[in-house]
Amino acid sequence: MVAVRVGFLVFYLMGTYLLSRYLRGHLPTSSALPVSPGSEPWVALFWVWGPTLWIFPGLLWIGLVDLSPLFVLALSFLLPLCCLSLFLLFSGVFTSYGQSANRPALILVVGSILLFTALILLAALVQPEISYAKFGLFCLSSIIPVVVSIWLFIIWAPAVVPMSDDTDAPLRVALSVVLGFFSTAPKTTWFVEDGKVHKRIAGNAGRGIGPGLLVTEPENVVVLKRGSRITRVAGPGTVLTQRGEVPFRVVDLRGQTRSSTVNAITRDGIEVRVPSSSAFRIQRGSRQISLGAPWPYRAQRDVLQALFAEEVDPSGRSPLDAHTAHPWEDLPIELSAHKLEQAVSFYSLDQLYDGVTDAKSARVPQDPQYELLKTHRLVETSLGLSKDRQLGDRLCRQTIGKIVRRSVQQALAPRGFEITGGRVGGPIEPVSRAITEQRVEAWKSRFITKVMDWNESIERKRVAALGKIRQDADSRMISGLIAETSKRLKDVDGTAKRELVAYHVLDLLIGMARSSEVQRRLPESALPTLEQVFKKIERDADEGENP
Amino acid sequence: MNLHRIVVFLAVGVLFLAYAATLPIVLWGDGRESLGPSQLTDYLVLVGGFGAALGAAFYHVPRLLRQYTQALHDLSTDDAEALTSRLLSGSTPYAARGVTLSVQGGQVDLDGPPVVHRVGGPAMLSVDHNNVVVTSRLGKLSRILGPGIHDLRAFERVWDVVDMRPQRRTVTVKFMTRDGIPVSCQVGIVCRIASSRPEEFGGAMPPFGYSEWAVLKVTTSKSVRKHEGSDRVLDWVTGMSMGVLDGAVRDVLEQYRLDEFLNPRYWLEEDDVPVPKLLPEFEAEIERIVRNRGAERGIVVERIELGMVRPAEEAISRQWLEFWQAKLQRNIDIYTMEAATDLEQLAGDARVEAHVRFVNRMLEEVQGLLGDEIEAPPQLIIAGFLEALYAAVSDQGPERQRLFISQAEDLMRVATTTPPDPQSPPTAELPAGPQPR
Repeated sequence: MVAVRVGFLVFYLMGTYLLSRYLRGHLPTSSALPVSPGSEPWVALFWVWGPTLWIFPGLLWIGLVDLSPLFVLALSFLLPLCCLSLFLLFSGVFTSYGQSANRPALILVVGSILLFTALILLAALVQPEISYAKFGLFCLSSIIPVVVSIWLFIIWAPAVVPMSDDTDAPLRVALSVVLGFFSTAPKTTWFVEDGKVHKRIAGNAGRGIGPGLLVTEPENVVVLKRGSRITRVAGPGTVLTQRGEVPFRVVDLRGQTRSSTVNAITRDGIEVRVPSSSAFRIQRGSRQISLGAPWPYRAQRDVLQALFAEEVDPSGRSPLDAHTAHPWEDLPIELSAHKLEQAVSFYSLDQLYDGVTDAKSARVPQDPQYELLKTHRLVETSLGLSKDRQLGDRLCRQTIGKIVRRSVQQALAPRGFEITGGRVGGPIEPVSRAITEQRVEAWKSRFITKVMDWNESIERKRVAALGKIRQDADSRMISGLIAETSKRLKDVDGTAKRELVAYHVLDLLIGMARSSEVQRRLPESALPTLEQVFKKIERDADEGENP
Repeated sequence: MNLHRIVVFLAVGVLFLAYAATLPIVLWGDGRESLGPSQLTDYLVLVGGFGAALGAAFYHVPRLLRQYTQALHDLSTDDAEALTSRLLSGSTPYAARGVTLSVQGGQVDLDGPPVVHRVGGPAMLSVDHNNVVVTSRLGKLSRILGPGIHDLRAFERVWDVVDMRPQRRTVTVKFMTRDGIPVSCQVGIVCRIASSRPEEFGGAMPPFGYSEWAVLKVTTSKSVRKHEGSDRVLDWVTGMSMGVLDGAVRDVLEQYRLDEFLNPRYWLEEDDVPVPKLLPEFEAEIERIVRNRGAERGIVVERIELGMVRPAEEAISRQWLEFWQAKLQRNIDIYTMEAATDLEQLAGDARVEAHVRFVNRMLEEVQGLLGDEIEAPPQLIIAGFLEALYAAVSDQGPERQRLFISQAEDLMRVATTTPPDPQSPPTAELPAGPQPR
């Protein structure tokens, strides 16, 4: 018998080692071991304690305890099984979290095991040669390892299950989650990462064992639904989902910013590109973010209303996703774009770049600022807003941004939105480049005028200087001629003076007449006539000289 | 090793010893007699079997929990084993040795243990001297940890890292001037997280002191700007530069016309041109606004660096260039004009001299013809001369016209009526003309 016991021990050690090796890479899944309703506790028991081969420590007592091997075998199997069954029953794992229907079956099976074990025990105890001490130690050696493993399971399971510190009955939750996992039919576990729900442990949200687990990020809440009904807003934090609850949507509680560009037309018909942005979040009320506390939001109603404000707009979408709603985060900027387009249509292009810089001037009817302020008021009234006493900023777009923001706030506040900001977030640019080019040209004109002034003044000076030079030259020339003629006349006799002068001045006249400037002032026939006379005189002179 | 594990070891050890001690007494009497070989073998088999069962329980339960952890966090077997071990052992320095997540340079060390980054502690967290970490645990913000070595509790993970060093960002802000001209300017911001008061550190400020309020404010006021993408969340520095600074620059500068930023005409000291504002004035105004908004967010703005306003339209720059060229050209034109005038003066003088010489030569030749009869009536020629003289001097001043006409008439009078008197000067009234050169 010693050899048998040694063989059992070797087999036990080898079996435990090999099973551990095998199970290291194999996770419990429903595909690995089919599970039917009601059998989950026993599947869990198989996965959790089966690999311990709990029967072997008792089998080592064959021949040492005063019982037949069959008794030893039965008790080695049944005594630990009783402990495990009782643990499964009293832990409540398989009879709570929507599994109360399993309770009678579980009680029945556990009761049967207990009864059967009690009968075997009774039969063993009435054996005539039994030593109670040996029998007791045999029973303890069979039970203690299982009890220790149950105890370890109880104290360690809560350490690995991510539960909030304020979870009710954390032990039961931890056991339920872990044993549910080993039943291969748990409820599903989800993690929210980067705003998206990731399924980590696949399960059955309705009939699965234990509670479902949902762990969110600090800044998220998750809307849960059961079937077609929204049940609640869960989180932020670790959430135990109830029977049938599945995540419907993740809602980010952080501040959101969206921006878009609106093409609007001013009242003078100019199309402009207006960038706008809107900052918002789920209504937080007066709560503040603090350490150790969930990210605040005012009420579940606000989250749900924001979510249910999502609109279906098939335009621009393929038939496949035509019925997909636009995210709730897009709603403020879409509304803002619409209001902005309306608001811009009240202003002229010049007004868009203008502003109320002087409150006093803005009260004078002839001042452009008065007109601008009047337009602001008109927009305010048209968008259905109450009168703002502080209307009118140094930039028109700031005022437009504020009016649009108030309008969006008014429209979306009942839907759980808290509008925290919004503005015309960039330069308002005309769509047509011609507008900009025209403005640049207008700006350039000031410089061009200046340069032209410069050129003109230089030209003026130049003309004046040239005129003066010419006048001086002409004066000097004529004076010189006259002076020279007078000087020469002194040496000429009286009868010849007239002819000399005539000839001389005739030549002078021709010379002057040939000058382009003089010629312009003379009749067209003057120069030919003078030349004809001059030639005649010249011919006469030639004839006189050579008869 | 935590209390649980010690208790477990003790309990299991006590059970084993009790069993081992009790076994021979129960099986073979009170133990006064020595055991035979077969008894000893049986004893060892039973004790070994019991010990193996306890050991299997001790080993088996963590393995089960490791499987659960592996599935729950989607980890590899080794990572799950290490994590489970840490979870069961607690966050003791011994257990956590070798599993340290470092935070430096404003971010988590990507080469560090990914499990700690993804799932969290227990682990050690080493925060460099210029960083602050905000941790989260199971969906709640947990702690703010400054520089040093910290224990991360189970499932406590790094939620955000704040770099305490001054941060510089430069953005290009596009805007429209009040006269509707698109322009842009580069602006830089240097900012950092607000420091705490020295008394919070017992009078000794660390190199990068921080205010917990500011860190919490900064990390929780990030805003989400789109659904997808790595840049979907605006970090605090980007929020300051792209949101606050960009808006402030635009709000301030859009109040002015282009000429108020840069106007070459003003520097020519023209009276009707508005005075351009100086860049430091804009910078100071923007800095004041950005500082106030930063303070609301727990951010200290150290300085703003506003660059020049540059027009987006090339035509503007070209116009400035042309104006500058015209300004230089103006001086060149004046110089050229003066030079041309001088040349004209020289040319005029030369022309006069040539005329005079020519006339003189002609007169000398005419004098030789005086013996011959001239049929052309001299009165007609003289009248023509007078007429031409009138025309020539008609574009000159009246004084000069009168002078020339008077001189001509005197000359004619001398030529037609007065006999020559060699002793008297014939044209005493005539002005002395320039001597031909």
